[in-house]
Amino acid sequence: MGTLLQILFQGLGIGSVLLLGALGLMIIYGVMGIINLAHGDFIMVGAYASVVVSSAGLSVLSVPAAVVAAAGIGLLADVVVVKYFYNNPVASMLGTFGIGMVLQTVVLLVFGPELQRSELPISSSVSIGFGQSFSVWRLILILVALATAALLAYFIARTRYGLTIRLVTADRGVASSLGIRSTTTNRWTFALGCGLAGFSGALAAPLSNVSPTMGVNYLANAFLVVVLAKLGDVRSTTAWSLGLGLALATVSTAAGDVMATIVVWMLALIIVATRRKSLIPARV
Amino acid sequence: MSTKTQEVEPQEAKSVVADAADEDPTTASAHRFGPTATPRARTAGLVAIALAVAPLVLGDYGAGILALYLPLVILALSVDILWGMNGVVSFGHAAFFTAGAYLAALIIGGPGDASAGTLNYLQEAPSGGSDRWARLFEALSGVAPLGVPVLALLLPTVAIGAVGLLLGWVLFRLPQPEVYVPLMTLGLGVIMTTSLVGIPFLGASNGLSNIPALLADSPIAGGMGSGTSRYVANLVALLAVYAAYWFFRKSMAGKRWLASGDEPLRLDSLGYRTQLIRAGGFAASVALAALAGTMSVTTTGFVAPGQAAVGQSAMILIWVAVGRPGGFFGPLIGTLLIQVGSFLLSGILHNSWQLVLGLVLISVVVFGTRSSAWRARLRRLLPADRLVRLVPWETGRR
Repeated sequence: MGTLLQILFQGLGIGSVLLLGALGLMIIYGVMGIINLAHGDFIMVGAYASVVVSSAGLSVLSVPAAVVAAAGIGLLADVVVVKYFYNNPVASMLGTFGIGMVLQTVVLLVFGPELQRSELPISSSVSIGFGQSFSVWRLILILVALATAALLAYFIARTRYGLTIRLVTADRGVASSLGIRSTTTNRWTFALGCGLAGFSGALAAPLSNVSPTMGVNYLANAFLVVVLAKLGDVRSTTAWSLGLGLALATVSTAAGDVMATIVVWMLALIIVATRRKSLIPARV
Repeated sequence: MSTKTQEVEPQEAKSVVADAADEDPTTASAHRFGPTATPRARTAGLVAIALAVAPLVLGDYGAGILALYLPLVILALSVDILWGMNGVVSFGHAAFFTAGAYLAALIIGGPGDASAGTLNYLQEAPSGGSDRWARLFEALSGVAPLGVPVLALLLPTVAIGAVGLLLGWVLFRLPQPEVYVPLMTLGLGVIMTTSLVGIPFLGASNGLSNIPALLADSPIAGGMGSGTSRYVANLVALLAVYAAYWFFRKSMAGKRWLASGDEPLRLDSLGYRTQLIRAGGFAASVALAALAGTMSVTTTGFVAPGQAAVGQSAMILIWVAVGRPGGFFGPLIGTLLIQVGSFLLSGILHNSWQLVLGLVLISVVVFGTRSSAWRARLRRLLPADRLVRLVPWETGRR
């Protein structure tokens, strides 16, 4: 029972990190048709920004700083190159991978290859029953991820900007004929997605090794969530993230991390391949 | 548009995109790298002769350096068959390359070199079954007419090609392969790297080293320097692959492969089994990547888990992108340009070389997406018949 509880919390922990990554990816792909392979690197940018700010003694500002840094760089990237890749999955994958390479190298040149240390803001753990304990920071992370998903769902479903996002996702042509500037929507959506990446980077920084290449670790599994979940649906993304996290935690407890990666990847492939219809609508 | 396509089969929607692209080249989705004309036999022959006489000019050391790049050309070609001819990008080919390299290293690596550590491990392992593996690998490397371990060449290619066929069958069941296949293959690099690091008798994160060259014990290489003999082995493989590619592009099979990427639904309606064609093409591409791995490990004598990483797969895409996907000599030109550039510049630029590569990738892709719009602008400025002579890619046959 204790082990089960541990797996449950561990899975939710992994799932919440996946969720934070997948939300940004999902919203960017949904609105703009951009498959952002630089997403992991925006997470990395957020992690570095939070480390820098908190080492300057302003740990209160570390999360906002990470969001602003990642969103700002995202905005800049969109203005300079990403605008050429709208609705072009293949070009967007290659182009954003290039952006990721640039971000990695710049961070490497500025900070060097060594791992950055980030102190856990709350290092205590709580008892979760059956003699098991769990880090408070991870619990906070799970709650924050779920709250972010809820907030984003509210934002998309209830606000005017959310309406615009839904309209552009559903039909770009109609949206522009109604006077919505789809390029402006795209730009701010990309910034929003990158800001989300920065946010998750800041939250995950104390739990992982902060290095220029840390982004790769988040990428593959976060994309599995995007492939599995219904596009543009926050609830489905949340469910698949947590499900994938639980599956990873279960298999890795039973058979190790490597086996977990392989099993979950194969499961995802089989699930997607046996579906009758794509959940990602074809883009025109 | 999109609201409707949720009900429509995605492939149908894709052909709509292709039609729109033909009519209006200025739309963003018009971007499509496609095959250019296959060159005449004379041109291809001249390039082959130039490559064959290169060691005479470069000397043994230069030939040894150039020999390092030839397997990478095969690797780039394997990705180009998929991307340039079928429009599907793979982020997992470095994993197949590495798998091929490991398999070849196990078969070739006999006693007396570092990979013998693996064999020793297999022999001394407490479980009795492992000894059988060691003897099997030894027997396989024993089949060597003219001193060439042919099974080390054939087996990895066939075995990994079979895996590719199975994987391709599933992958091309996916509704929009050009979107799903890259995302799914992204995981392959991570899987391959982490699992290889966890296997101690394959050298864990150090990998295997001191693998002998393919022609090391062969009388064919008698009198050649070590660099030249490696170059000759790799060149023969490259020319064989390129010759097959040349015939493939002219064959009906090549046309079907092209059509299965361009118009899968129409090909289906003509009674062809599109999924099987695409799975077969994917398998051929994967097998070529494994062959490239074999040639590479027998040239460098070295293979490590890091070679399977996603970044390495992206590197292949950079070679292909620079050489223009679908161009016949594209893989050759792109790979040599980037690798020779990296040989000359990475010493000076150190880490900034990655920055240069990233910028090159971005600019090539931006050029790829914009070139059709630029072409359309050019077409408006110039009469069409003159354009054919001015812009080389306009002469290309689809």
